[in-house]
Amino acid sequence: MKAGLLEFALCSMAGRRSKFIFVYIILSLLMILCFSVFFVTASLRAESSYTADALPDISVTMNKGGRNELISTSRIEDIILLPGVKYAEPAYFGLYRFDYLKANLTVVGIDPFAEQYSEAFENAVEQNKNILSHDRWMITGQKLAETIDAIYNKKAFSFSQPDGNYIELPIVGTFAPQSQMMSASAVLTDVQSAKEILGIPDGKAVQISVYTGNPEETDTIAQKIAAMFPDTKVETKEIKQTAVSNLFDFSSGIFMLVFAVSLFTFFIIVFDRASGLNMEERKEIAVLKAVGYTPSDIITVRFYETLITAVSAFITALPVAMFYVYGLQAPFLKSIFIGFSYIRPEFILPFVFPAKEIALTFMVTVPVYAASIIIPAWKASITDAQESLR
Amino acid sequence: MIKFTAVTKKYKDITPLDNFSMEISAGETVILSGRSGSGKTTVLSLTAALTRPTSGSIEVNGRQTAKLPEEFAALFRRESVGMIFQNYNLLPNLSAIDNITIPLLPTKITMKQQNERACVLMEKLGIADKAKTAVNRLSGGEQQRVAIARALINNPPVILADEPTSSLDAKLTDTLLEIFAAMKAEGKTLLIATHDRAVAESGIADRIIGIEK
Ligand SMILES: Nc1ncnc2c1ncn2[C@@H]1O[C@H](COP(=O)(O)OP(=O)(O)OP(=O)(O)O)[C@@H](O)[C@H]1O
Ligand SMILES: [Mg+2]
Repeated sequence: MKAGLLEFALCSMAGRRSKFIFVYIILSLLMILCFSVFFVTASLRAESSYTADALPDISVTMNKGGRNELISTSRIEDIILLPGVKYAEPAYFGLYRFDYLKANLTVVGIDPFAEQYSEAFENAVEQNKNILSHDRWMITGQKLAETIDAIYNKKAFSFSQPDGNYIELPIVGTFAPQSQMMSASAVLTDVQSAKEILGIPDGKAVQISVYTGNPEETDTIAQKIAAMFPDTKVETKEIKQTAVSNLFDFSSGIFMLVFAVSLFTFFIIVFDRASGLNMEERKEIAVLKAVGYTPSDIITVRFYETLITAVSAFITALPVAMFYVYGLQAPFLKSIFIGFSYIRPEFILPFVFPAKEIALTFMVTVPVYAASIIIPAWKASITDAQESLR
Repeated sequence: MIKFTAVTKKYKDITPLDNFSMEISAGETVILSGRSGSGKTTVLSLTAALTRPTSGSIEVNGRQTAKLPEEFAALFRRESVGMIFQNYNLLPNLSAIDNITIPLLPTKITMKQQNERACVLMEKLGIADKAKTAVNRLSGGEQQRVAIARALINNPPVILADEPTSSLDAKLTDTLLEIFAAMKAEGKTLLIATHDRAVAESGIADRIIGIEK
């Protein structure tokens, strides 16, 4: 390291301030964008893996000609006989159109005392102790509960059933604010109410949820169920989990990153090449040569310049992106990833620091930018200086 | 000290130097004269290895420079030649002292010594009070003295000056000739390209080399 050349790089940058400030701003914006996308995707992924914990090991749905139909609960009796199956149960869920808000609510009927729900349920729900005293009940997100209260002025909601009748459910609790993103428009109810709201007749269910004792047997069991009931779609938790995280999958994140990086860096390069090695820069290099700078001295100067610019952009971008995502909860960007909806999920993005991806961004942007500066400088440093000095 | 042997320099369609030879010994002060376009600047550039001859050989300060790779040519310049350009070629955004110390930045000389050397030279050249001024705010004569200080800071044995009096009035020309006389007294080899009579008639030169085709 030659301190003198670093000093010169600083002086020279000060002399061409506006150009470096422009590049610094572009680089910072690019990094803020990339880092924010990373923070949000990494955080959402962490969120969705919570959600996946509540999924059954195997789900069996009725599928005829690509149509999803209700499945007979009597099939549980056959499934439960398969070796390795711990238990199987019907699942009741579906969408309910809440016209007033132009939003779809996800209605899920659960038995709050069933073992497989207890943990997720306790984590997700505040004040659920009074459920016991109700036959019919609903639990929903804080925001939806407040909205209902504001519209109807009561802590209960009337669902219209497919047969035209109404069924009123008291809101007995709300989800903990930091719980799953899925919960924002979700409504948990007792099983009977869910069946009535969704129009599921007795003896039918939306899905049969199968739990296995040993995760390694899950695939085999799934295959056996599929063979036993050719008219069903059998999915394992793993497949579903990938499907869920595919929503904001990393490969798409990486793709977005690479795309954004190339685009922005491309613009920087274009700007730099267009303004390019102008007369002034060419002359500066020629002068340095004339006073005895070797090509490597000249490259070193340019390298320091790009390094200073890139590192300052990085140092700016990282805290800004962190503040935007975790401090401000990523307004707008969060919506892009989880969808715009009136009932915006109120969950808090858990703090995740995707160090690998951030390092990757730095290592993709900086060399590209540095190359766009250093290569022309190097070319100028080995070509005849005489012409630029005349 | 400087020896051109059968040097030819061609640009695309012009050949300013054709089979040109000259020899200048150490400590000599030589004026290079000739019409405009005769190739004076070209000879200086070739001497400083800022450009390569099309053919022929050039020896400066004991070094064959005609085919020197750029990395070595730069080191050769750093040690052997100081060039004062006709248009000075200063870096306009930097202060006088920063321009003067530029050649020392890649060397191992400490910042403190660099500044000391620059101050000594600025004192000698009468621009000490302008050290911190950006060079684009200096007068032509002051800029030239910054350029001279920059050429001298590495203490090279060969000094090249291209049309040094072209933008100076009579009084400044006299001052400049005194500076050259001082360099000459220090034993520098001076090659001055000029068609200014005043320089030729001042008696500073040991010899005048004319380049005419
Ligand atoms: N890099 C170049 N490319 C093309 N032609 C050049 C180049 N440098 C010099 N020439 C040409 O070579 C010839 C000699 O140029 P040079 O600058 O050496 O002349 P000079 O004697 O210094 O002239 P002046 O007194 O006007 O400074 C001129 O015709 C010039 O146009
Ligand atoms: Mg000339």
